[in-house]
Amino acid sequence: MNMHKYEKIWIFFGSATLLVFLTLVGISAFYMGNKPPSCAVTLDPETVREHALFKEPGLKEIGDNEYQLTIVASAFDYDVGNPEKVIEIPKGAKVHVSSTTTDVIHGFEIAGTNVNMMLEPGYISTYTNTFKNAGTYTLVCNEYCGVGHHLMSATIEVVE
Amino acid sequence: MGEPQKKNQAHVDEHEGIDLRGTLFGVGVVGFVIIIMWFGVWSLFLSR
Repeated sequence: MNMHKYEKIWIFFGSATLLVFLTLVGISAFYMGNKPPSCAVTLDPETVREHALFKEPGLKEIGDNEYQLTIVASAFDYDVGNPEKVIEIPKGAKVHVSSTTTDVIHGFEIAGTNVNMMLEPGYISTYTNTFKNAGTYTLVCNEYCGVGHHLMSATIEVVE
Repeated sequence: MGEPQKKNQAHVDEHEGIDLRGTLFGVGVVGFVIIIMWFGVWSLFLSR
């Protein structure tokens, strides 16, 4: 096949770029361990409070600088284990976030971080995140869930 | 009768007279924008 010289240049350029992108995605996923949020575990949405993980929501230390954060969402509230709705996380801590909803679909976004999940009734949404930067972050619902949707929030404080 | 077919014709450059420099430039600009955006989003993901 006889191709123009410039056509050969941009086909090479496009193929090389695609190869670089796919290689970086592979390194990111398999070497660096970056994974999308999971919702492979199911539970009965009517007995969420009886589930071992969600009996006492909040932050629990499970290892060396490693924490389990469980939050129960419902219209129009995040139960984070305290009435102030503030969670303090040490900077650099690895946090396994698990959350579910007792009623309708809610969003779960910690603005300014990579934590962004959808909470569906009957499923436990999980994501592991390392909080590298100190500061105050807001947990917000980003799925419209009803008239009080805008009231659904909590605060995450990453402290030194 | 039509013209007789020419046999053993020398190689002819079928791209002669076609100027694709503008297209190459256009593809290059689009590619550059895609690369910058891709690495920007990826670095943002890694930094947060």
